Amino acid sequence: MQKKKNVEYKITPQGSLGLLALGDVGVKLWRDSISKNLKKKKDKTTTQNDEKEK
Amino acid sequence: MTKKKNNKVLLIGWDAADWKVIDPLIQQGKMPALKGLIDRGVFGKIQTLDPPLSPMLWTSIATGFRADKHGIGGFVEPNPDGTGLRPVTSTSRKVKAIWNILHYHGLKSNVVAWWPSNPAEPINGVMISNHYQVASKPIDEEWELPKGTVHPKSMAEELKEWRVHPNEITLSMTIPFIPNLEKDMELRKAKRTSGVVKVIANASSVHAVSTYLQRNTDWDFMAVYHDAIDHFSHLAMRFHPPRRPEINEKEFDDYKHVVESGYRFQDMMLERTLELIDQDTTVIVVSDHGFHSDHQRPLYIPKEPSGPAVEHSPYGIFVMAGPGIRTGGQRVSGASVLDITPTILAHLDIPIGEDMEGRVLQGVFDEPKINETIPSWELVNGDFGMHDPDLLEDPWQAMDALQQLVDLGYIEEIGEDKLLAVEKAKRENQYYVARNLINGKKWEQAIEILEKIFEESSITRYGQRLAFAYLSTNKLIKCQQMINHLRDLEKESALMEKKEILKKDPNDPFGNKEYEEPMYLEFVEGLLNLKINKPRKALPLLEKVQKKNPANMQVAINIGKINNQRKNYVASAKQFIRALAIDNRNAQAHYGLGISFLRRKMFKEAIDEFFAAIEENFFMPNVHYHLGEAFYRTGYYDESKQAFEVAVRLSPGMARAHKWLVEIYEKHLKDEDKRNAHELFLKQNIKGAVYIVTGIKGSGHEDFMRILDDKGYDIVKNDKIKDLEKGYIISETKKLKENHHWLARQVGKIMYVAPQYLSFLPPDFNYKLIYIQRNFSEVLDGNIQKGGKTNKKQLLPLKTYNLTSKSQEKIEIWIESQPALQLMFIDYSDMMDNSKLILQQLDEFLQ
Repeated sequence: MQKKKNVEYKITPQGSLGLLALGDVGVKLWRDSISKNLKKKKDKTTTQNDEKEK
Repeated sequence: MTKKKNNKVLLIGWDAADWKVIDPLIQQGKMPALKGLIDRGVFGKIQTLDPPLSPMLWTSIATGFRADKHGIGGFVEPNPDGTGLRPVTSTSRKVKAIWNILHYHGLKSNVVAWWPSNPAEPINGVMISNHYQVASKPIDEEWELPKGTVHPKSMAEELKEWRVHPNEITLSMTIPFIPNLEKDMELRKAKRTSGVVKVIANASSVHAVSTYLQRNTDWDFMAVYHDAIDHFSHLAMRFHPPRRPEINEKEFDDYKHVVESGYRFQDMMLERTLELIDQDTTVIVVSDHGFHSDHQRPLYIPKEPSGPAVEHSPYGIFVMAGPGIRTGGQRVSGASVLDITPTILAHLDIPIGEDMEGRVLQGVFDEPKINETIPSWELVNGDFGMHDPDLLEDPWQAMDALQQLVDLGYIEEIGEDKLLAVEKAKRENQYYVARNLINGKKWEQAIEILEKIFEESSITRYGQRLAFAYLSTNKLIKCQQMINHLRDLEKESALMEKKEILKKDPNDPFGNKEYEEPMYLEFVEGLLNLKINKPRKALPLLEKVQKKNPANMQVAINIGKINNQRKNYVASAKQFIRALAIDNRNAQAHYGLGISFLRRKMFKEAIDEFFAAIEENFFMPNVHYHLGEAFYRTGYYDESKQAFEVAVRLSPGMARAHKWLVEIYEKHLKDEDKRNAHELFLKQNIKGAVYIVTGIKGSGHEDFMRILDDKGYDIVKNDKIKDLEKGYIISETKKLKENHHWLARQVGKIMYVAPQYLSFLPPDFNYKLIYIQRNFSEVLDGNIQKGGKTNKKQLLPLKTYNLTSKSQEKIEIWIESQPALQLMFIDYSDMMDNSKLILQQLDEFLQ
């Protein structure tokens, strides 16, 4: 079987059908992206709140 | 028992996948994974069973048995506590599935979402039931795995995270299916849109957990079932291009991409699945039935449980590729859903149960398989990874037992409405099993079930199938009586039904616009009329049915046959071509089309069609006969002789084929010996046709014989008796049992034989039967008066009634026992009202 070239994809929280079609791996990558995004948002809010408090 | 296999099998189920959708997508390069699989393997159509209901069919695929044996009759079964109904479970399956047989052989199986598979069976491997992906609660509530979803239980926690909740599905995942969602906020709230989202989520859950198992477990056999194509199709096939005039333009525009995107999504998932297998894996992609996607899409959903199945088409898809399988994308034909389990067992060199109703698809293998068999896997004891026997029970019987306990006062009364619902569902299940039996030509078993449930419920659908089963077993009188009874019921409920139709039903996917009956009764009545040689009556009935059911191949074939009989050969050709558009491998349709060409002197085309029919079914003597005739007309006497010889080999009594052979050997091939042999055969064996008139006492056969005599027909009568009413009852018929030599003198004549003497007619004549029928109460009235003794107090003249019934039964039994009897029913009142028309029909019949 021919080996596929590694291509870099940007995974967004919106996900895609392509990710779902990748099965467990795709679902995990997508959910990780959501978590990362949430964390980012949370961090941003915390920083903003900290700055406000200062 | 342990047996390690190098060759693994991956069985992928795509519910409702259909080549008519796939073929154009492959041509446009939109399903590359399936295309690749076809190219390195074999492919073909797969025939479904009737009724095309998925739990029943997927169980047939996994077992090789029909529903009467495997026990999964429908979608629901009673709850063990009698509180209502629940989705059908794996504990109702009465036979071993392929994974049980593989377990016995020490092989590991992963089974994902097979329908029905809850509770998961304790097999060597992993089983994830069909309840796994179903989200019953909103995303912010705890989404527990239902009981029995995963085997082994220890893996439940690890596996549950691969479920995708519909609320997780994003707009960007849905837009490929419904592009208008981008701008149309109202469309986002539509029920159909939510349906599409749910199907995407369910498919993603099944795919995610199966790829996880592919990557993280060892297995020899893996079966994954996807319902996405079926669900996308039920939601939106009516919006699949081209748009039909009755489909709303806005809705068409909104949902026209759903089906195509569904197939493409399924193909994308297949691509990933195939990336994860090794080279020792044989892959099978199979569907349980197809789905009408063209002009055959129905315009109504029958008002009955499982009505949406009318959208299903009789042929699904089958693709197989891998080690030991022919390569190059060759087509295999004649596959049935029953063949999957035997074929996989043969591929894995495991014996096949001789009681399995499917067969090994030999055409898929690059080398012929010599299959080992055993009488039945059901007779083998041992560890098959099945449920505890205490769990395995017939839920319907369990429900009866429960009711007994209620009656004894041991448990609380089950609500009347719940019991009614269970009773209704039980009958419905039995109805599906009966249809499945009809589909397998197990007529008597089907009749037994249908008689019982029709007597209990008077549900017309049950009576209609019963009428069809009667017709198929030549119980023509019973069939006619059932049709009459159903017509009476129809009249009674006509008003009520009208009101029902006007009621709004939220479950009607066509928005209550096209809610109509499928006209099955007209179909059966049409076929009955055809069988009793009343094509003029049959034709309008079948044409009416065809208007509502353009996709019914049998209707098209029968209308074609009538047109052939009536010498409307252009009209018949249209019908047979219509039938071939539905199934291009139907032998009857090829044959009928051939006749149409032959009679229009298009001999080359006729020969092609006859050959096409023979390719599908060699054992049709009439096809060989007409092939012989077509060759003769074109001057190919050798080929003609061969065809006629095959016809007489298949049907030695076919006098007309022998006659042709006498002609060919005498005039063209100059072979006197062979000519004489056929001449001798004709002299010795075939004594010609005798036309028999019969009818019970009082049916008016004497009037019929008088009409025939007046019109100059050649009837057998005793000239010494002047009174014709008695003269046509010749005394010899009473002694047929002892002496029938005199019958040879009656060839070509019309003769009355009383019902009680029919069974003494010798087998070495061809018979055409003309059966005079009359309203039963008129017959009784007449017979009572003829008896001379009338007792006004006697409301029901039992003796006369019994004698008349018995007489009728005798005719019925004789008709049933005659393999190729040609029949014409003549109604007494029709005869008296319009004897000219009846005689016209008679002339056609006697030809």
